[in-house]
Amino acid sequence: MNLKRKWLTRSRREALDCYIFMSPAIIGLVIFMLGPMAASAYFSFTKYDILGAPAWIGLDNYKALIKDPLTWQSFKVTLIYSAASVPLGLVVSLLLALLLNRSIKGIFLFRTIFYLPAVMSGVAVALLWKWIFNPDFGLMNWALGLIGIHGPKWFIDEHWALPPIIIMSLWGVGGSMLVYLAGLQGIPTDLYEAGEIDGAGAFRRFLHITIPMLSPVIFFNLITGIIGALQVFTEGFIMTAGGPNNATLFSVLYLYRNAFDYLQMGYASAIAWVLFLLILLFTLIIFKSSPMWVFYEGSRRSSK
Amino acid sequence: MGRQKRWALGLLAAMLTLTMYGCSGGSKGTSPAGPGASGNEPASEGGKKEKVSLNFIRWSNGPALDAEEKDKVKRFNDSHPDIQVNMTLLPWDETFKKIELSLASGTPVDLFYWDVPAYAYYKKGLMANLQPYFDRDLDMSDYDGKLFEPFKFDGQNMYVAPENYQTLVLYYNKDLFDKAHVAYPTADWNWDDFLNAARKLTVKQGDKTVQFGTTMSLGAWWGWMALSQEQGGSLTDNIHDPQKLTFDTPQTRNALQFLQDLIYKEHVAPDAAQANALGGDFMTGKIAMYVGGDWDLGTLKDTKNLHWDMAPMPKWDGKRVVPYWMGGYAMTSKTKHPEEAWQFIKWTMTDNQETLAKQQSWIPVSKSALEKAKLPEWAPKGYEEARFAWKKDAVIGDIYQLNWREAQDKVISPIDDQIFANKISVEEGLKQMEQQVNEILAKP
Repeated sequence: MNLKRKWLTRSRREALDCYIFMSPAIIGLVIFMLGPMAASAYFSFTKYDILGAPAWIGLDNYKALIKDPLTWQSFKVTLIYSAASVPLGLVVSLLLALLLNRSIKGIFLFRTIFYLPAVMSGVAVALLWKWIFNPDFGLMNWALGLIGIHGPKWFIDEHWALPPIIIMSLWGVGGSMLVYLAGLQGIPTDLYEAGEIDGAGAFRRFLHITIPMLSPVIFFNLITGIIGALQVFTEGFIMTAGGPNNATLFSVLYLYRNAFDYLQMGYASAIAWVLFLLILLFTLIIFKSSPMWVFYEGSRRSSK
Repeated sequence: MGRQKRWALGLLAAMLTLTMYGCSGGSKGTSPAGPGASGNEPASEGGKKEKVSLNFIRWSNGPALDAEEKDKVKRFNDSHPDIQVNMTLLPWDETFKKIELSLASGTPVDLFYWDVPAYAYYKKGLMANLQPYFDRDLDMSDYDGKLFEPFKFDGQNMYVAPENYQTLVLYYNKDLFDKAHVAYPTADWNWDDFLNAARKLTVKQGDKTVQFGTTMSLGAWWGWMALSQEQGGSLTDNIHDPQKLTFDTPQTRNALQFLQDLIYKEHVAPDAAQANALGGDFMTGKIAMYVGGDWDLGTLKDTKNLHWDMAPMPKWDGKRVVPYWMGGYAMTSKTKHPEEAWQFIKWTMTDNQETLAKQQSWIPVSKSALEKAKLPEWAPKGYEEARFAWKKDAVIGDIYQLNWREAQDKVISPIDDQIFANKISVEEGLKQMEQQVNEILAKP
């Protein structure tokens, strides 16, 4: 008993709890995902058409990838989409969270309503938005018409194919909104009271209390947002089939086509790994930059 | 939490989401369709033969036609006590992915409903040669052997067993023709007659067109290929594994120019945005006529308040070419029960043909079954001529080549988009197409 207590110190106990809670995810990863990932890494160095045996071709897939204009186009489309939709989503979900972080009667109802879209099926939502953005009788151009703007040919003109998908991505902000909301409720009210006594207005309180206290949550939403955005697929697959003229050819869509439509699993695996490294790179950059702007309560190091 | 650990966590998160997306792509839509299920039937009573289960994957054509397919399989199972066909209906795209995975995992499906992507399986030796069964069991005088030729992938042996034909016809809205005092289309129509009628049938209100003479339904490659063929042009003389296709020919240029002009010169057909705006186009009575597949009949026969009829596809300077396609069944070469699988295929080509003819959803391949079938009640006046008299002008609307799908996706569709958005000239588009498609076809 004595010995056991010595071993199971408080910090060890905490670590143990942590691993127990993480174990379902880790076990799932090891069993279901590590194998396919290792396989895809191997396939990326082979010519593999699914139907026959893979044949080792070294770096040929990666070399072909550099020369393939459609790969570049797909990365371009994906990056533009991500660069626009991630910041937009972060801001909008924060604003929504601020709005919903009030103690008004029936606020739970509103929170539910705003969260609801996030759990709806991607395909159904894609079809719904396709109607909203219909150039001639969709809601969007009707609304623009009311304020005297002649709406563009959404989805049909290749310059106006990506923007509606970016706007659509806001439909799913419910998830990050919820995380913000939890973060907002975790900010101690005495900080605001102190600020008020010191004469800080609402905006300054927001800027100097809310934002820093919320920075770990922003950090989390930024990372998951970027990872999600770089893997966008359903919209291009369901709504536009990558068109017109490849204006919505997202990387994962191009990967999917190579794998299952053109029977080039090896090449598709190579695209997947480049995409993975890209995501890793962005994630690392943000992690590296986090000490500069993410404030953790209780860890004074980061606040310096 | 140390920095190192957060690092690792981020990596983990990235991996997790990446693989999760991969998985959800793979399992999308694989609903457990198909009647019954289990693959292992218990040995049946007494001294009877063990019941053989066959897995069969086919693509879905929507609820009405799927119901006919389910009924077909049920009638086969009922009349063949020793064989149980288990059908899985999937969206078109899923179908081939599923077959590929079944072949890759060493547990191949026994039967599948054919479409062009499956040509890759033939090339890999994964499709059974059906010719020995044809020779043994079928009376070929009941079929149009010439129309079956495209399925002789190696020039001699049938690899797919045709069950039905599909073709193109000209549909028109009688009310709109009456209102504009335009004579109904006939079998003698040339495309000039078509264009003249389309001009008269286009109605403008102010600067907005509220009714179009026709649509861009022939805008896909097989549509303009047919128009090119009517002038004696072609993309290739050999649809099996062509190494080179020719696009930049006068005939194909004429064909595409004719279609592009319908939008931008004649203003009788909607561009993509306008087509979108018209909604159900022909169904809602805002399109006077269009050339479309006979598979549209399924929807048209159930429309109310739409007085439509049909005619054969128009001719180009007196010559008609009608593209046709075949629906049929294929067997994987690794099936453990080839004889039973053939029993099903044979049944669809023989005993079931009369039912198929009666249902009128597909054109049956059996001549005798077709003769026996009565015209359906809903059939308009031009039905018989348009739907059944095309065979003498028929040319297959397929090309079989391993990289063909890639060529369509990467080159033909985007260039088509640009031509019909008037962003590129027909001549320039076809030049690019010829060069880029052949680059893809030449890939090993």
